[in-house]
Amino acid sequence: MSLSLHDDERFQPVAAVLACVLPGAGHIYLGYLHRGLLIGGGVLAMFFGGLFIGGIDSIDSHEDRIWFIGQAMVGPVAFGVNYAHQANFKGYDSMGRLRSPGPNEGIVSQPDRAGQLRNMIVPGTPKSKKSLGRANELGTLVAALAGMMNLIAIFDAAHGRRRPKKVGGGA
Amino acid sequence: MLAWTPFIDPLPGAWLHYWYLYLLPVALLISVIYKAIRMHELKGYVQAVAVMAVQIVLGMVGLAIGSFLLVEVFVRWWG
Repeated sequence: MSLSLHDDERFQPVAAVLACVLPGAGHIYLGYLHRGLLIGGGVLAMFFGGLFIGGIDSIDSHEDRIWFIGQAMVGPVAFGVNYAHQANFKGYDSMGRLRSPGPNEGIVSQPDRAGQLRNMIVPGTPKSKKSLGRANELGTLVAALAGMMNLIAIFDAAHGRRRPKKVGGGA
Repeated sequence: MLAWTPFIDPLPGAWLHYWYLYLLPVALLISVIYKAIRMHELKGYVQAVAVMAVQIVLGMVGLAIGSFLLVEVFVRWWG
């Protein structure tokens, strides 16, 4: 692929959408297979690294909304993990609040007052441990960093990433 | 007590004793992504990634030293 000054640098909506859907896919679409794989692999490794450190509790659109905005830049993967978290690991307490169960609380699906089936918090054993302190901080931060890095990749893919060749090849 | 389930439960406390060492893989991954985006050619990519990762780590160490001096030395001295 030839690189020359400004000849192909134009808005690439398909690449931008693909980069939003799957990290690195925008660059692969533009013909930069290795770059796309490095970006996609790096972003997903960071996102799942955050998940590994902080557990599924570090991806939480309800309790950590601001952080989730950053994490959401990873794409549907982040929304999927968040959905799995909200649907399977959280429940409604007696006050009607959606929250993670405590150490001596579990979740069961049972009808609420309106007859709708919901996850309710009851005495028992939780499905997962609540992420607290440093594990939660690190996990949330690393996953949000993955989203921020993918945002840069999305902008880069959207602009076609066809820059003039420079001597030295560095940033 | 529940057994630890990776990606579901947070890391056990013992794994977080040296929590600051997680800076190393994070710095490496940031460098991998950033250099893949920014470099005009991928020639010399590995070296560029290594240099940037070291720069990030040294920068963070410098910030840590600066914060330590500010809180533990200068603030006490001024106070």
